[in-house]
Amino acid sequence: MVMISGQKVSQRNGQAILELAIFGSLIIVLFGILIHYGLRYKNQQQLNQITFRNALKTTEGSAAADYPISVTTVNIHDRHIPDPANAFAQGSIMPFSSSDVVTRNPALFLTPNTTAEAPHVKINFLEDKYQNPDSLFFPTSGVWESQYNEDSYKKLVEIYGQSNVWAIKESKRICTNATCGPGGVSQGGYEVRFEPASLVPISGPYYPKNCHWYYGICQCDDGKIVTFALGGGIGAPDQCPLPKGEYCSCEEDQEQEVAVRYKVNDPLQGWIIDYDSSVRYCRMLIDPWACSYECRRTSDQLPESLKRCDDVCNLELDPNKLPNLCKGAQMVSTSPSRYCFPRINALFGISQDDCMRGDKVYPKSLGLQQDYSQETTNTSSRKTSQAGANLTSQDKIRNSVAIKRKIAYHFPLEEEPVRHEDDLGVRTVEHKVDIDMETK
Amino acid sequence: MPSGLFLQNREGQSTLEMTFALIAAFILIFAVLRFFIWVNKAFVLQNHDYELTRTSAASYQLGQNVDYTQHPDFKIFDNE
Repeated sequence: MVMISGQKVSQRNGQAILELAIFGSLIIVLFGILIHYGLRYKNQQQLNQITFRNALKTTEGSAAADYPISVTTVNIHDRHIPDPANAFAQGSIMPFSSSDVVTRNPALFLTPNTTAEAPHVKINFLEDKYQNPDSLFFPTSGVWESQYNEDSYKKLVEIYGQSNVWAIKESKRICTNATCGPGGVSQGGYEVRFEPASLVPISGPYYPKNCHWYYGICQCDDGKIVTFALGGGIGAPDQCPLPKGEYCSCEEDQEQEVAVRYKVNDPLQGWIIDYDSSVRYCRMLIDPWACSYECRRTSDQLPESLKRCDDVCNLELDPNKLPNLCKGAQMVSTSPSRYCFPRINALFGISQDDCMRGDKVYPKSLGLQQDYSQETTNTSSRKTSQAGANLTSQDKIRNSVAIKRKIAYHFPLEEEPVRHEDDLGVRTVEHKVDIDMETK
Repeated sequence: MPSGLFLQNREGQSTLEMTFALIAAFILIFAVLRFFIWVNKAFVLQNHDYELTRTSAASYQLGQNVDYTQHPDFKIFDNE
């Protein structure tokens, strides 16, 4: 009986120790999690506040020339979080990130004239105490320009949107009534434009030399331009209206705004771009059906709007203006049309063969890479000294974590853009524990 | 009687265990409470200073940040 009772007692003792061990450790882990959460939200709030202020700072010159009209600020801050699960509560390194973009009112109405004015991404890799923000700037679109061509202009407006394509107009003296031909035979009713207007006396005679058609404009070897109004009836579009040796003299003229060039804010020309939108733009640029399909989706479905989509998308696009990324496209299927773009695939780490087989693809994004490496170094030292009855000991524990991150981007002006992956540098987060003891 | 003695010992042991466990639990609860007071105080201070500099940060000191280093560090035994 006693033995049995003893056994029972022993079991109960074990139970108490077990309860303490289990519930005690559970409570400690729970406290650890709560501390972790508390610090995480406090640090995240700090970083959100800092990032917004940094984004506000980027608007300083947003309305000035050669300054981005909007900057997306991305801040990364690796911080040490104590963790009871780790030895000496050294804890782990937790990455905090926050991004913000502020666009000031004047900049809302601006369009970038150059790539320097295009929207940018600014990446700051913050040190402890938020010092040393090494800013890295990457444009997310690029601006290119071309001599004005009505068809290309209209089609690009449809593909890139009205706000991203715009014509550059110049004020010209337009001749509204001219006398043209050998010996000054009158061919009235046609418009003759002289460019640059200041070089050509409108009132005097003009003798064109070796003219040829270039993007719908009759350009002559002496640098001057002669254009006739549409429907004028002189010459076919592929030849100049005036044969060599003929001339025009202007009888009446007036000042008009004339489109001479157009500019495109092209997302495909950014250093950091997105896979899906790149494929979408390239598909629309090379395939009139795809262009019309996308146009119809966003139109009001009225018959005239649908017809306009077909008309605009069937316009000829100057092949020289096709972005490098879209070149070399291979068709996979026809209905609906699907393409594989080898240069885009190479940029996003996708096998062209997988793409051609129709396998699901997993593009590796550009910009700040999710994966990073960290190298942890732990050192501990103990120094003990005795002087008389005094015993002094010093313990030093050093925990250092070096974090390496990478950023991926491309140079759109390269003939064959390739993926560049650069190290963002190394940031070290240190955690120090010093214990000094003196015993008498 | 021997049986009674054993019983007394067992009761004493569990009381002792409970005493130690409670002391440890109270220390932990105290530390965690202090920590959460600090965290909440930090939230309030951060937000207060952030709002305080809102106007200047948007005008004559564009993008000015709050000096977070001025905020108190975590100390368990601190009466402030």
